[in-house]
Amino acid sequence: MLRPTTTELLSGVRRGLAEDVLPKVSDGGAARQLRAALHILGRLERSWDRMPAYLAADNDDIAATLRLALADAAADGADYSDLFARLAKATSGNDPHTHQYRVHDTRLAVEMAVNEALQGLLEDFDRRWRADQTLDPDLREQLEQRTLKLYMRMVEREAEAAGTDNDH
Amino acid sequence: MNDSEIGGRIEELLRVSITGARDVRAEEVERVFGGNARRAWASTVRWTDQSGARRSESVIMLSRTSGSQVDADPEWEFGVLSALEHSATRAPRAFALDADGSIVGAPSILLERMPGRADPLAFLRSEDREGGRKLTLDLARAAAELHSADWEEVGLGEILASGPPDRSPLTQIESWEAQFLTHRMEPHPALAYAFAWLRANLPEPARISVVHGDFRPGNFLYQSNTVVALLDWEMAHLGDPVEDLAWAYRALWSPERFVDLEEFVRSYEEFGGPKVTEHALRFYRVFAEAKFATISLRASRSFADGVSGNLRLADRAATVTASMKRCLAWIADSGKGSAWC
Repeated sequence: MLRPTTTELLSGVRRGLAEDVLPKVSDGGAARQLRAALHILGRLERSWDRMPAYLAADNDDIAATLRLALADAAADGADYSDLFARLAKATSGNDPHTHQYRVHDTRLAVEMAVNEALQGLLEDFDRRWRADQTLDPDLREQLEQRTLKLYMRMVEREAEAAGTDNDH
Repeated sequence: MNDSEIGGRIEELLRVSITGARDVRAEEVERVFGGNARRAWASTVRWTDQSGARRSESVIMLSRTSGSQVDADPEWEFGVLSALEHSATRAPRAFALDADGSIVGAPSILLERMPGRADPLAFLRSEDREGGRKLTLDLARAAAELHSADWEEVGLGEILASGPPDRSPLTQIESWEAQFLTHRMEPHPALAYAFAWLRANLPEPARISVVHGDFRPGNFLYQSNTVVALLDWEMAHLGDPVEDLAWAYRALWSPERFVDLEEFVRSYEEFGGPKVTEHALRFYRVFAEAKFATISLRASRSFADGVSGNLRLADRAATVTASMKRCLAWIADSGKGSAWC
């Protein structure tokens, strides 16, 4: 353990700035900047430790939904072999560009890379099947519902992870 | 640009903009809040016109800052306001334009400063329910007036129409989708899906009108429960007027505690606005969220790239989830629920 924890530190810094510094900042522009910084600190305090669990759950859900949807489309005669290949590559966790996220934990960086690859694949798959008029109408309706529900789950998860689930 | 130099720049701008103006003086120059994307100064300007008469006007100068989260062009705003001067729309007069910033130091526009306040929180959190209700209904009337303006007659077609006017609602979707694709820092498949839904479900507009594009509390001046002037015309365009109504009722700044959306829309129709269908309202509520999400992504990108140092923009991407939740719920309910909620 390392006390104070990150949450405790963020909370303490935010409180100190809000109570001791902000009231003494007379310049309007500087005060606006400080209030914005306090808002960000508050959100980080609510959410910083949720990222690993969020990414793992999101990756599992997107990969499982895509696997099923691609299999159904393939059974209907669609040739999405390139998307199957991308799915396998995305979930392999071998992205060489994880440094771009500037995080120190290697496992977390890999989960981020997997998430970005899966989200990109999901977007491409969605565009592709919608343009594919040869698909069976019942399957199209099924894909419509399945992808919409996936998006709704993704957004709910993302809001919880970002600490914005009560925002308007 | 130093604040103390601004008076001289305003004087120079007026000298080159108003034919025959002489003895130009900018007095009582004061920095005022101009929003996230602009710096603003208020002043009283006096000059002698061509006939020799002494003139005095209260003005506000708005100058662009770098790293804006929207595509905005003072030249565009100047053209729109100059044309609307000849309509019944509640818009300030535009006096001068420094399109390339060669006089002021940044692209700028000099407008009539009208009385009243724009503070959205004072309005939205007011305990004066009856006053808030009157002001909200007057906002519906102001929208109806704007959307009834004959844009062809006042010459706005030349400024606003970049293609066939009846294609303008689709052009808006395409434009915001293009901005989303350009500025996103990660895929955002749910937002990509929302844009695809918008393209596939575009309603037939009851009328093509001048659309303000940022019609909401904070962007109008009010006094004695009356809308004095609509401000910030940088996103004005031709399109479906329902777009403005949906934008005005986004959750972040909605005046629904005074007047619910259904009554607002019915009042708007009674004041002369075109008939609003439930499909169009739902569509533009989805569009409003997709547009807001895009503005938020662009704002965060601007900060991340170091183009803007404004900390209010830094974390705007975190607001996208709330927009997307509403968007997806409205799409999921289309055809079975009400868009009034």
